[in-house]
Amino acid sequence: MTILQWFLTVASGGIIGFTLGLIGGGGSILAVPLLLYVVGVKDPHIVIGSTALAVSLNAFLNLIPHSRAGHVHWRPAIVFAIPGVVGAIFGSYLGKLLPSKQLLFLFALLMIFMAIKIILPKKTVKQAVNTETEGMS
Amino acid sequence: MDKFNGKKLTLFGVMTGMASGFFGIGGGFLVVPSLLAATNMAIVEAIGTSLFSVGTFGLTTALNYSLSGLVNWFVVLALVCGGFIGGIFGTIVAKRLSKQRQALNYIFSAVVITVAIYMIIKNADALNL
Repeated sequence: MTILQWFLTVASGGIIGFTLGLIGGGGSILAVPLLLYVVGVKDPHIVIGSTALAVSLNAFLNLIPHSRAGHVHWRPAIVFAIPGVVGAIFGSYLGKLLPSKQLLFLFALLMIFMAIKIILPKKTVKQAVNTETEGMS
Repeated sequence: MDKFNGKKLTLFGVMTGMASGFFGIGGGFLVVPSLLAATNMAIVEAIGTSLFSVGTFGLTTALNYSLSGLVNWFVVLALVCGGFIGGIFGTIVAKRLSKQRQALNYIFSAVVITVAIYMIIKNADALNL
């Protein structure tokens, strides 16, 4: 990697962090196109592998203040995360197997889905969830 | 406080984990609604709790990719350093612009859709049409 690419990677990190702070989400959907088309990382699988780790580290860092504030419920967190890890192992094997173009094509569809989800009014989402939890014993 | 539906949590966990691993994303936008639907948490608690899953799912994916040599450690380091600085500014600006929240979401959404269309065109031959 050239010095310019280093600089562009740090700058991309800055844009991602800024957006995460501002919008509250959407880090990885910005990270993938930034690394591919701004920094110029050639292999999309390296882009995905590297952003996955960066997103993970960022989440663990943010977990600390949330945990101190008493916002983290560890029992449900672990009950959710254990099957989730099994799913993630399976999902990441599939992702590695899929050719780059197909993976990026599906990733772009995911970006559109997320972009629409972010502008949908939050109230309807909340109500839908409330009616679902009411049915829970 | 810790009332939860174990079956729902397990099922949603597997599904969000799969999506997260497949795309190499944190999946916070899937984890938070899953936690809200399967527990009696408030939104702020669901966001805090989701970070544990986002962190573990991302780590699992990264470990699997690194087994095939598909993690560039220097890229990770540069992203995290830049992200830390950017995050501080983002949080400050977010407080000042809290009234324009919906406008910010629209701008973000428009940028993401534009980039996504570019990616779809660039990778359209994936469909073998």
